[in-house]
Amino acid sequence: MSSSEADLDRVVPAEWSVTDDDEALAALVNLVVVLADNKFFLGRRFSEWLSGGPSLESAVALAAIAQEELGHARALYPLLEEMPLVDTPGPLQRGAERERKYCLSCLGAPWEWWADVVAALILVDPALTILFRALEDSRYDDLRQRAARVPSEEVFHRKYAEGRLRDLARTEQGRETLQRRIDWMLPEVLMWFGPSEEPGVAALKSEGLIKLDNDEMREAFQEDVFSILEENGLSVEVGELPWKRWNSLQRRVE
Amino acid sequence: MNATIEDLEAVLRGVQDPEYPVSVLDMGLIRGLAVEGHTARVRLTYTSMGCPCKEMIADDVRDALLGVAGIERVEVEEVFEPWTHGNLTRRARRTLAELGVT
Repeated sequence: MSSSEADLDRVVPAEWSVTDDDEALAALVNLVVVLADNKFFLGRRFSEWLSGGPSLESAVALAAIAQEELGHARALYPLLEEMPLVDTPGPLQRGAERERKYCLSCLGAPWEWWADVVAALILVDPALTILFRALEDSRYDDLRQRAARVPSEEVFHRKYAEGRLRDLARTEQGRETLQRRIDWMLPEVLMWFGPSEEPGVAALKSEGLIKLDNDEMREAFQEDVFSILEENGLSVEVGELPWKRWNSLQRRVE
Repeated sequence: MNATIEDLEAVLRGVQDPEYPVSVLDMGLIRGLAVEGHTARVRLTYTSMGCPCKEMIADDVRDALLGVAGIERVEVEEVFEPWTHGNLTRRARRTLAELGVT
């Protein structure tokens, strides 16, 4: 073997071989950017409230939560660079910008009220955790490693969320304010898991990349958060979901 | 002569966590060490995925290992393994307790 061949052997990276299914690959890229962008904007929205919470303690705890949300996004973005799909979206970190954002519309602009923070803590963050849990046995090792760690950190977010929820729902005025924010966010969060029998998710499931389909994740989310909301006098009635306004690529309601 | 795992551990005992006077070994951040020829491989986790000191810790580990005789290259891999207080050594717990961190 010539020296140039030896050099070639050393520098050519191993082929990315998680799946040969084009539909599954496209869905996987979308799944990663959607998770990362939602974590990124959740962290950003929380960080905007570090000086606006009802107490110093709530602000300090929210700072830690915001930092972890941004950390989760930061751990996911490098995966986009290793997946062999042309024009994968770039990472939103270190000041980078991207025109198309893959986050929920309710995370797309700064929030006006503390109740928005509480609603996102008890709705958006747990929804994302349901999806991470569905990836804990994924055949895609790099994603599985990250997904397996996130829920252990989210345990503390959830304790904080439930405490802030109870604080706010204790008074009639607080409960009414929170109900309005839940009425705004909950339909989009329920839709975020996607429509029934979505082809890309079916491909991911058949390839062993995710273990739950959209309906199973949505049901797991409802089981996870509806009881705590109802225990605190909050309604989870949403009526008919506005699927005509659903953007399946960016996974958001327009 | 090639470096040994013990050589790597010896220098990592001198690499402190940026927040506490506890080594990265005693913090339980080092999840694996290997020597292959002149290359040292490190499997590293962090106390939180949002740790703002990730690069600093990885750089400190890399710099320390490059100071070991026989090591010319260091590969640091972040492994995302969960970290809990149970990963602290007794020495680390004693130091943290003295600082009022429990």
